[in-house]
Amino acid sequence: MGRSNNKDRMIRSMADEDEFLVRSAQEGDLRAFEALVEKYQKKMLHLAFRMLGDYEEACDAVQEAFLSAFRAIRKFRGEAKFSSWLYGIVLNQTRNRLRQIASRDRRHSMSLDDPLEPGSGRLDTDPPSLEASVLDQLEKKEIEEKVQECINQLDEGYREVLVLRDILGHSYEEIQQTLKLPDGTVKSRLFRARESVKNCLKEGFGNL
Amino acid sequence: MISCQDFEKRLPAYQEGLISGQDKKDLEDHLRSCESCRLVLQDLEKTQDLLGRLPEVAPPPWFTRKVMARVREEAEGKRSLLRKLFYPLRIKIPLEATASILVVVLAVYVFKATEPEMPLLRAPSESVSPIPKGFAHREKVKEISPLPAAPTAPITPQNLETKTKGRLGEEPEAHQLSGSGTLGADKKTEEKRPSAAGSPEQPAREIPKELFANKMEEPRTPVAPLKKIESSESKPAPSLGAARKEKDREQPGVLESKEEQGKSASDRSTVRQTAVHKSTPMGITIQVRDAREASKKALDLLQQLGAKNVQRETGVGIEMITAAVPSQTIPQLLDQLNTLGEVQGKGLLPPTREESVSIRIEIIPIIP
Repeated sequence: MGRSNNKDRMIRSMADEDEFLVRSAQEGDLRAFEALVEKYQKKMLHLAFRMLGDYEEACDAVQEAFLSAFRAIRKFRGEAKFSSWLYGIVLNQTRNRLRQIASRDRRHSMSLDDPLEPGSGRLDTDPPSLEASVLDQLEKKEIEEKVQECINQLDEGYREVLVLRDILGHSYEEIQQTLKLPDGTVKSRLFRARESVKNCLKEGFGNL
Repeated sequence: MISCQDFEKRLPAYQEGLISGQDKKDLEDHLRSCESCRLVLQDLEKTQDLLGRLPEVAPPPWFTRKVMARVREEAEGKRSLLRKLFYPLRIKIPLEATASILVVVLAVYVFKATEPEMPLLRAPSESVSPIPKGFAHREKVKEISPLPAAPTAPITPQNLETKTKGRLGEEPEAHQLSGSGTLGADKKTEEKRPSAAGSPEQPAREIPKELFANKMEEPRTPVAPLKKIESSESKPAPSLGAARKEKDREQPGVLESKEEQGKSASDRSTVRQTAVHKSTPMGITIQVRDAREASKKALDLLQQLGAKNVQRETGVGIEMITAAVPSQTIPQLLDQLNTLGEVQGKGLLPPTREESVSIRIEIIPIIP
């Protein structure tokens, strides 16, 4: 009881802090905006990286997102949390980049008539032995890479919900605010995304 | 009976704690009895666990500074962009637009203002078209006239008037023959305008030559060579003084008329006559059948009229007599000379104030 009160107080103080910084930034205080960048850069980068699966792209996307936020900060009316608003901007950036990457990949992709090169594509990866718990044998980094790979296979809309909910731990309410989606859509997308990632991981590791 | 597939579909919601009541109890009963569904649930939980354990990535060094550098650039760019976009829009471009409009308005105004003068400006160019005609005419005169001497002094109203006075007897006849009127005079002056207006500072020799040839010879129908000219023009001036006035009006570019606009007619005549008398003798050409006999008669006539400095030169079939004749006897001399043959006046009319006028009479035979 006492702990939850403290948490609420902390959240409230954070919201107050955000409100103050945002208002200052809206009035042209660059130091206030810098404080906001400092505060949210890690979370934004986390979201961008999990969405894009590429560190450089994620850094660029977040940088652009902060720039966009600065341009549009006067339009922020405080109807939603500042963090939700900022996450939304980062997701917009990641969507744009995903489309760019997709079109780039399409340009460089081979024709269906081309013969398959050995070692190319996911189908050629040898599944690890199913006899023992493979997770223990794999390095942590490899597991992370595999999980990220599975995330990358999700469609954009599903990926967003999964990252926000299962990776960043946002509440359904926050996700609805960020994505401006109804509750049922968020949940159905989340469950389907989880199912897809689970299948992907099972496909890669055998038993989880 | 609910199949495993149906239960599997509900597992994510169950995992999220979104299933309650009888549905939750049924699912949990199934999970206790169905190992595969239990495994699916475990995989889901592990997947969620793996996702939740994905670490945050650290931003690159100086990330905040990089972002803020871009932000500051943007902030300054915004100001400079404002300056670039709005400053010119509010001040510079309107100024330029206003200047352009002013220039256009001014151009239109100037065009409108000068429009009435355009026909005046075009007038010389229109009158230029008869120039070839004038030249042709001059060439014709040169071609036709067998006499080498040409008048050198510019024509003046006084000259013309004097000449008219000297030939008062002939003028009505000439008018009758040509049958011309004011229209003819207008046409003639129009024809002459280009040559006179062409160069106001042209040597006096050029312009008067043509004018003289036209003006002086027109009334004199009996003279054979110039008769052609007259017939080609067929419009003698009804009044040379009027023609001159008209000419003055029509030739604003002629230096003489401009300069002397303020002077009285008498002043001008005095100046001109003196100049004429001093510069050129009065040239008269007579075409006769027998030049020698006509020469003798002319010498007698000159002596009768009290001429001085009478000199006679004889060429091949041509007789030339120069003399100083009292000016009041000029009309009588001309009348008498007419009885000898066809007279063609080449010199200028004698000044009224001078006592004597030098004349040159060329007597040439008529070529059959």
